[in-house]
Amino acid sequence: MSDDLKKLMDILSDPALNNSVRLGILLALYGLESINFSQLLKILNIPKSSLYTHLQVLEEGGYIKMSKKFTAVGPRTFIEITEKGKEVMRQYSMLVNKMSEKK
Amino acid sequence: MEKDLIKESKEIAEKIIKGEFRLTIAKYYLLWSTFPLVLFTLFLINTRYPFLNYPIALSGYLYYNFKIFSDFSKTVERVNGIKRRGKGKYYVITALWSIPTAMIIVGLDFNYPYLTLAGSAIFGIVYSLFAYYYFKKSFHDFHYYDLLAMITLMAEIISIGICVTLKIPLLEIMWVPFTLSWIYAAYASFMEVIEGE
Repeated sequence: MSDDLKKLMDILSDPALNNSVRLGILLALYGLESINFSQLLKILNIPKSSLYTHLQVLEEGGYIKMSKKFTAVGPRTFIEITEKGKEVMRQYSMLVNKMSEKK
Repeated sequence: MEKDLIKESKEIAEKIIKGEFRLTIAKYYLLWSTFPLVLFTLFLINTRYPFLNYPIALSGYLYYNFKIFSDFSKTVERVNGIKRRGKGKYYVITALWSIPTAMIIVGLDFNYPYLTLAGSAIFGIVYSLFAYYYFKKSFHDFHYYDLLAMITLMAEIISIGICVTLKIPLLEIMWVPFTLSWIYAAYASFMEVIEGE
């Protein structure tokens, strides 16, 4: 097994990232930096409780931070990627791109 | 299994980015829907140097326009892991927009109707190519209100050319369908991605 593949497997073995919804959300947040809960809910079209559980797992892993903020249309929950989240996604993107280039 | 995880997560990330793209488009529609109003206000205020009104209004709008699309482009590049290309591409894009815009402004301000007509035609072609590229090629996300906005803009550009060339005093009225359809497109785009918590 190559070093890159081993590193990628290490990242994906983390229970917080071993799920396509959670990994997808974190990957999108790597580009967006932050998004609000209601927007994410509408885009993904999954049950509210399910989305909340996924976000809680990511927050417990230290990859995201959730906070309530007041906006013009009322209070909204914002999800932001942490430094740990950015670093893991930077490594993940680099490894996935490297492997797809090899193909 | 990891292969599926990587593929599915990328699809989910793209879905979220696609939602963000719609939000960017909503801001773009809303921004430009206010352009005629801002322009007419400028013409009311600045009667001494009226030829400066178009450049003043356009420079502000174009700055914000490039900013929202450049921010979005950076987001896509980070998610897809694409390295930023050289500045050459951005110079070409800026030239493609600036040259016809300048032709329209100079034609309108200094009464060269055929320059306005030529600028309008080039602007229309460039706009159609960009809209096609962004909506169809990148996101397969083209709605009836996008088409409506596109048609009213093209009609507006064509009518500027015709009104100036044939000296028909209908320029102010022609902004109405444009403004209304762009406000509607902004509203519909916002509604696509935003809802109450």
